[in-house]
Amino acid sequence: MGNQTLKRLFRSKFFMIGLVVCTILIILSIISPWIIYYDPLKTDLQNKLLPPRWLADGFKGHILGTDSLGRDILARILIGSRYSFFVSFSAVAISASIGIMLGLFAGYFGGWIDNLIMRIGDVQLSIPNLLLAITVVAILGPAIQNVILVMVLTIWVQYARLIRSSVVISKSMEYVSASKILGASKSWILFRQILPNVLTPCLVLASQQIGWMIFLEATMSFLGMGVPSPTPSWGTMISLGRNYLYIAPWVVLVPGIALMITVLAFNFIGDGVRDAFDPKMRSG
Amino acid sequence: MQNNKLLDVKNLKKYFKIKGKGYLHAVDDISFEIYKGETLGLVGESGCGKTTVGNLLLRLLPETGGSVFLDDIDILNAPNSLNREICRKIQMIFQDPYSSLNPKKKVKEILAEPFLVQKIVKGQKAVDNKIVELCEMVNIQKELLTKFPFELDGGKRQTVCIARALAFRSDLIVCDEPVSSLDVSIQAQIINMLMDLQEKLNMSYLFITHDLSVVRHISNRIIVMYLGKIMEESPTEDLFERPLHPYTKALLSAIPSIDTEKSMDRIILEGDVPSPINPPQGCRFYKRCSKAQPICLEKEPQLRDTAFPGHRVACHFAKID
Amino acid sequence: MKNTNKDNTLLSIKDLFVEYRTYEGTVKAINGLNFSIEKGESVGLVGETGAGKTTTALSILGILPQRIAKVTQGSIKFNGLELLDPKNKKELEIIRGKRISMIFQNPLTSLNPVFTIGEQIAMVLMQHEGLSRKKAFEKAAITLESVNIEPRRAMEYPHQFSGGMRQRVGIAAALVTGNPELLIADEPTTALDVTIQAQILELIKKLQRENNLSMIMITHNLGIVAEICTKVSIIYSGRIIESGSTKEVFKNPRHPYTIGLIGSLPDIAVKKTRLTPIPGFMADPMNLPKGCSFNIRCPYAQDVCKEINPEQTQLGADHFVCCHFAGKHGGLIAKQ
Repeated sequence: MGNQTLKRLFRSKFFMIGLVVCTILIILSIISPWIIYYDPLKTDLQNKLLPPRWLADGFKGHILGTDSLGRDILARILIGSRYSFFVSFSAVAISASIGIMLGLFAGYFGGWIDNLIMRIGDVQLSIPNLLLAITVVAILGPAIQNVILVMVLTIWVQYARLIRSSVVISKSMEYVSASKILGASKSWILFRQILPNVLTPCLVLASQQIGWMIFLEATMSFLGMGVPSPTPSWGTMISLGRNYLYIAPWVVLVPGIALMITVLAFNFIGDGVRDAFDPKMRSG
Repeated sequence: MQNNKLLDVKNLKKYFKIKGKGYLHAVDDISFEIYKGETLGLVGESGCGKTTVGNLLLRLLPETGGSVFLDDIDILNAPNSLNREICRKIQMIFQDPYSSLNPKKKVKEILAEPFLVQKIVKGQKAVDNKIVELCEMVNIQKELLTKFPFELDGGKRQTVCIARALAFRSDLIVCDEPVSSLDVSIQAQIINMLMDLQEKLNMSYLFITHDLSVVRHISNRIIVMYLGKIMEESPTEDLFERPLHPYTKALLSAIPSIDTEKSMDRIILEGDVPSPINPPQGCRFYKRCSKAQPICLEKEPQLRDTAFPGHRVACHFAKID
Repeated sequence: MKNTNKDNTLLSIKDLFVEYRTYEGTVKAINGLNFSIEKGESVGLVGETGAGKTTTALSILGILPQRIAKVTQGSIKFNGLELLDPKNKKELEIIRGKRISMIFQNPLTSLNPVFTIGEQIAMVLMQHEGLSRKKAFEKAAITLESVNIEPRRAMEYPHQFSGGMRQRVGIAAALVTGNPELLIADEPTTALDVTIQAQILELIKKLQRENNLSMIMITHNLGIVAEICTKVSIIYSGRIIESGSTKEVFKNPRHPYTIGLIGSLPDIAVKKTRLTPIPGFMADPMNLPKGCSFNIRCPYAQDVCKEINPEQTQLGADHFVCCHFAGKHGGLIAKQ
């Protein structure tokens, strides 16, 4: 199954485009501290709001211009991407882990455990995520771990629900009965028989959520709930550049376009993964 | 053969509560025995409860009543400490070879599981040796060990299921329709394999099926079930030559045969199999029986002995001598 | 196949070749199929999974999956009309709706769960026969009666019907429009209990007699074929390898596959101590062997079998077989 799915993945043009772009972005973000020319935090008020130079000065000039405090936009974009990727990947990883564990227990044991977990999840879902973000940040203050916390609280429920329904179906499969009659313990059945079978939808979900988490982080930063300045973040950059939209549009446009390309590329990956795993997409 | 009793089922019951409708009598007070080295066929159509019987014996479901003694162990009320021993004595081959193998596991992992779960041997090498033994017993080539279930066809999957069921050299194997979902060309191979293995390992089988043609080949004795009750019990050939219960007669006559001259006069049963929810008192077969009389509706016939050894029937009007 | 009375031939398939084109390769599903059925006749089409039975049925009805399947050669004539000719598209639609009907193995999936049984049959009538709503419902009730279902049950939904009843509805729906001359039944009783199967077979027999229907019964169950078909055609790797009257073929099977098939199936009236399965598996349709496609499993295969695909040999008035050594393996059945 792995082979066929991989073949399907690589056949999808959108997935390949997304994969290439994301790979480039991730590599850039990793090596960014070593390739930028300017310090993203250093202000240079004499050179503020310089327009993009399009390689006019080779790599020495401010290729993408400067912001209202004279900080190099390119450097800020690159360093900001590290932060975006770190936050969103962590959030997805942590949410998935927690959500999967809770979903496993809810699905397998049913009864009050199931009820408790699912009702907590219901309450969670009924809180609009921005309201949640505002509340958490108001109480705990703006910090990178709190941003991740907000994201985890927002999406763990999806994993839990997904896993839970898959587990309920798997429970009634005969291979589970076969394990039981061999004398297997509950944890053996749960982790070694059922878990491998319910992970696939999570993989699809995770790949689709990374793009959303990047966007959510930018939104939070834009609204001032992300990591505070001077740490560069695309959302913050857009927020600060708002006031200069008519005189120096690049201050907003550059991070905006970067955000758009990144989210789009991750969405392509997500769609590709979803289609590759979808049995109905398998043509004869 | 009396001292060779392996399984003793007494008054086994399983009722399911259906919301708003009452109780579904899936298995309703049945008793039977299985002796060492024999195959007991359990036949009936859908809804008769035969699969539920299998599940009860393997303790996959809690019983509503009755007792099951396996080699003198009361398996339905056994303490947890005996759990392992019981698992080793009785195993099951499931009906659907597609869902009874974990699609994410290779054949090798599937066959290793019994030994790992019961901690029979220690170390990878010992487990591998055991797997090789199993493969030899059922003729699985080494190449198949690294394959996933979806890469195998129905017959090979079922062979893997059989190998898994043999891991403990159990005394009793419950075969729940093991060939029903297989292609006809494979059925013969699997049936032959089961028969060979039984001889070699001196196991007993409870062979659950709706296919009377298949059960004739493999069983020593047969039980016919209808709506949760046993209608007739008999040594195999005796059942085919001398069916005593009207239901058995209808069942046998309904089976189309390639030898049209030999086939019996068709008895076509009217109507559908009724629901096992809140069954009426009296004989379960009353509604579709051509020989029904008022007493059949009032009083439920008990299984009684006939002049033919080992042949019992639950009918007020069966010719018992 | 030669018919003494050509005018009586209802359906005639000649040299049919059908392929499925997939990513993994070309599946040669039908390889030179010759088949015919006369008016009022019932023929059993017997074969294992993958032999091409369902593909044959779909080809007749013209409902092969469009993107993947391709008829590369051959002709299918219904009452003299060439069904594969694209010019006859209009006629094919009428024939498909009214002259040829099909019943499937699992009638539940072909019934819409949100409409009552009566509504579904009536809708078909209103659409295909232009009947008014009132008349359509009346005819639906009569149709249900003809398949032994009480008309008042027309108000019920498919999930309230048992498997046997749904199949009866499937049969009713197949026979309700137009006046079908040919009924194709694709494993109609495989999913049913044996006593219900007996009911359905009786019903099919009765309807066939009453309406002078021709019928193709697709199945792997030789007993059913012996019961309700007058002729049988054994299909293997997309070809008919033996055909003739059911009595003749089952008494004197001549093709090693047929002999093997009969020996491998448990039969209620024949007590065998040991089944003799046919060794090996059917040839991979993406990789058919040269010569006779049965040669890899045939205990009597000779060199010629591996080179040349045998043509049809006529053995008796109505007994045909595709084997180089036809007639020479007849003694085998006596051994069993």
